[in-house]
Amino acid sequence: MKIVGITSCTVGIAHTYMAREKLISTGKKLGFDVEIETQGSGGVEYNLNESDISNADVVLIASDVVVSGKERFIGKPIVEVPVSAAIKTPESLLLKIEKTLKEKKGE
Amino acid sequence: MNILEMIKPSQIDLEMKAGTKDEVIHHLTHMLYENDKISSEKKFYDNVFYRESVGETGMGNYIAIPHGESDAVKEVSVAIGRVIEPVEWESLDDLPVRLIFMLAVPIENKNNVHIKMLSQLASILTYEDIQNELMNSVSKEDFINCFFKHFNQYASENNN
Repeated sequence: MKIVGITSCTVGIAHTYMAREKLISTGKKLGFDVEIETQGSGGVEYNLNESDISNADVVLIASDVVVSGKERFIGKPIVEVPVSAAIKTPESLLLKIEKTLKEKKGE
Repeated sequence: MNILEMIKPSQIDLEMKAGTKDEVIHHLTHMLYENDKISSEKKFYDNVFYRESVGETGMGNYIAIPHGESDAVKEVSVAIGRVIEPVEWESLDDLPVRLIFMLAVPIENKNNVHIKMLSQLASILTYEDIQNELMNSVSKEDFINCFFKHFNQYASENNN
């Protein structure tokens, strides 16, 4: 499963980056390809590129604020959660996304 | 700039005397003031408490990263405190905290290199082995060395 996503939070100096790290390290553990863009106090970093987005099975937005550039994901399934969910329970979050995608494809 | 310029011994207290979250934040705020990183203690901790009211900064596994973004901040900085007895704190895993990294960011004139360092600092604190090493380091020197090693390793692998 390939996931692209965005993390963002109110101040943009801690949660945004911790959520990214958790999603990527958990993705590695589960064998998922995870690319995460951060929209934090330092601006947009780790920008998603077009091929990452077009190859993605799903888009994950873990944020407590409005993120920019969502139009890039038109046509893709989008999952939106609070940023804390990505820090607190990244494994169950990613597994749940996988399960939901499989069920959708099976329909 | 080197991360050691930000993780200064005078901004670390591994035997912090604080029994409550309020005391922790006041103590760390005072450290920043003493080190000339903020111009007003009141202004800064008011901002930190405001941030606390928005959502949890206890990130799990006894670590908290409270932070404030205020015009009272003169320079991007961090104050680090560790307490023996865990302190009640709103956290993602509902556990109290022992190790607190308080981050300070100015509103204007943000230096992106420094902000990036804080973001990398927060990133390495998601790893349990690093959390445990920092939690158990026996001296300030040991703590700084441990932090320096992991930070540099992370930064060298993740500088994009």
